[in-house]
Amino acid sequence: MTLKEGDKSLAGRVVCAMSGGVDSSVAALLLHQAGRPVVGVSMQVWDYRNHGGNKGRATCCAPTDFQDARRVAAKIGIAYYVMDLEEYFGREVIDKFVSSYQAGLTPNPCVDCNRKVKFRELRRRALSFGCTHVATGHYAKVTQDEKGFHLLRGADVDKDQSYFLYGMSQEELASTLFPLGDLIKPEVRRLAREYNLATAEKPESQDICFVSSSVQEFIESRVGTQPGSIVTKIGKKIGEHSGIHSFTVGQRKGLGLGGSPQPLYVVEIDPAQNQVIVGEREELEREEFEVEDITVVGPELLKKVSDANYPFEFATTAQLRHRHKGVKATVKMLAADRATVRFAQEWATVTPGQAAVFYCINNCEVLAGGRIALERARKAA
Amino acid sequence: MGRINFDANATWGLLPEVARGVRAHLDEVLDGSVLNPSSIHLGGQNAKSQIDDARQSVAALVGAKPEDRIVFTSGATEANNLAIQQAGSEGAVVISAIEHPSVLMAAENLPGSATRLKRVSPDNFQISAEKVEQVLEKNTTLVSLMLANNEIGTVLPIQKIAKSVRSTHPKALLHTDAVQAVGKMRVSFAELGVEMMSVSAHKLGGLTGVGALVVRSGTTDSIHPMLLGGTQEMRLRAGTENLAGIVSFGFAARYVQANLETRLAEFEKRRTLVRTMLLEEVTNLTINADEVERLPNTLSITVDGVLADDLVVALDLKGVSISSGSACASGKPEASHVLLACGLTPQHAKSTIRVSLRAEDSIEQIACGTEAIITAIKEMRRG
Repeated sequence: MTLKEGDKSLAGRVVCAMSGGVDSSVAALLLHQAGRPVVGVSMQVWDYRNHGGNKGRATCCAPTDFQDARRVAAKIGIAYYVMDLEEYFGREVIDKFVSSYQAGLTPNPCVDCNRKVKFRELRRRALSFGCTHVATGHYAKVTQDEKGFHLLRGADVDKDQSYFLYGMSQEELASTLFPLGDLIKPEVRRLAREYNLATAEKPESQDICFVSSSVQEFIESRVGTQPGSIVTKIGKKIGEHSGIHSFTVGQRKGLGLGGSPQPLYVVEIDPAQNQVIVGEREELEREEFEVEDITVVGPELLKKVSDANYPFEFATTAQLRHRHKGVKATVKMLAADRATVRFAQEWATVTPGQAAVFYCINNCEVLAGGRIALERARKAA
Repeated sequence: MGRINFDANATWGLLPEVARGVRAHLDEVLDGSVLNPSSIHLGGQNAKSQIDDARQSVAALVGAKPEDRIVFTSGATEANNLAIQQAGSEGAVVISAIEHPSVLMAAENLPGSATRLKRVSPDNFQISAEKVEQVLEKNTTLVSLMLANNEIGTVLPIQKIAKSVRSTHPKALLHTDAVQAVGKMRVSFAELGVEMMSVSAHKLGGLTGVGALVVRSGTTDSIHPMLLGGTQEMRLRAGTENLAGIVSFGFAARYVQANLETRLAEFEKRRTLVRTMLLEEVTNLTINADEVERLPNTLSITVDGVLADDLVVALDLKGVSISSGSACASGKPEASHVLLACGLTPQHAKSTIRVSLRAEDSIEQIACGTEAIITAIKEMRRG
């Protein structure tokens, strides 16, 4: 959404989530320049004092991150607060992250954080102290027409984060601003430099914000190791693992297996048997897969869902993980929150737990998204 | 109306008289007539004399005798640390569970504190002399209890406690953190019966960065200084003095002492106004420690169903400064140890704000600020 000065429809005070990174810094700057009353808020979702066991580089919520955000807010000239969301985040994101891995899924915590923490809990609390809108530094766009609100990919194809934002309702889209939606990253950095923001040259944090070591170490620090077997599709044991949480479907490297003529991939994770099933690449091929916990975003699709004539189908470009270029598929909606997805031409690796986001066939607008369900699909004949 | 300051206990803000005095002092420093107080030359003598004036004023305000010592420090935190460290490495130490973090942490940091340190909890928001007596041991070497609490405003019966401790444990050192009390009630160091007392300039309307430990004559010789390297402050606190700060302290002390009786009446009037307005307009609101003797400017208020941290923000955005818990604790919002020690549930503690008023602010400002609080609470509850 491009901000225009004095845009009357955007009258209310905005809370801009500021992580201490350059993207949210520039988002706050642009809002302020457009004349919107803005307050900057950093979400404290992690307290290093309570997690003395953390080794390695801090990726978020370090006192320096808040300091950076505070300096940027002061430079821009806006009020700045730190909001304690540690308990909420711990329950809705971290606990879910750990239990998902234990259930044989590869979760996407950023999706949960956006849906539950940023655009729901942060919004609720900001509303309570007088804000009407939430803004973030996400590379994504919201547009509005007579049909309703649309969530689109951001202009920066490389940085686009719409994939993580599929869990938003029309009401949430109506009161959300993405000031960076029409910008590319180099432009964002340039703006930060031009306005001498402290974070202009700050490197990006790449990993999951609450994991400073590795996912494996993080999970094991919570639940310990749970050794089990690595087996082939016919159940032949060919190796051992220290916990299914260290594996993700489609993974090739790091299996600790040698001596196979063909490369081996993780084909399935079986939490009940605590087994990792490996096979050759062909064994990853699927015709279709199931998606659950779907949120429908696009207004036209929402209309069809409210008509409730199930099943119905729509064509999509489906993105199955971050930085996945997407594949053409047909989504068969079985209910408002469940669907079977059938590949149209080429197949892609299906990783249970990851978000499957259904874009319009031109791959710009998010129509819906959900979570890839645990393995139940049949292999292509 | 401008910003309304209902967070006076965090810092009083500079009093106009103090600002004038400090500006005049800076001019003297600028023209070279006031230099390093430790120097022998005239510039040093002038500086020394300004410190002496301030010292005298602070002594008068706190009711110290001429032979007692006022040791200027970088603030009350340093004064508290200096006092607590007198407990050395042996002997039991008693503090209350509602002390300021600078007392709590200094005490927790004493060698062997795990076994040496006892914290007395309040009953019905008050610390009793009986409860203190119960935890005293044969080798108790230090008892530190604040004169007034910064968060709930309760005034502790220090004189009574001191008398009782002294009768059974004459060798124990008694210290009181009087930071919040001075300027808001009559304080007489001589009458309290303690050996050491901490005070802070910026809680009185002076500059930040300066405080004092008042030390009873007779105890001075046994004080071990924390900072070494010079003979300043009678060898009790090395380092070139914070002259501007000390000068401001003197001005603030003089002003407060001259106006104390009027101030106390003004506090009472304003606090009654706030209390009445809140209790009339807002349901499910509790004034904590309402039945206990308190500082006349402080209200600790629990607002059911409202997150204090968000109320602070809502009011900040409306131009009213309040706090939830003490300012020092607000780096990361955490439930106040004082409220928890007083028996509030964590949920209630997180719904508790502190309103601390200034006598210098007009009744109109006080009423306006209270209206804003009432409106903010209603808006938050509606949402």
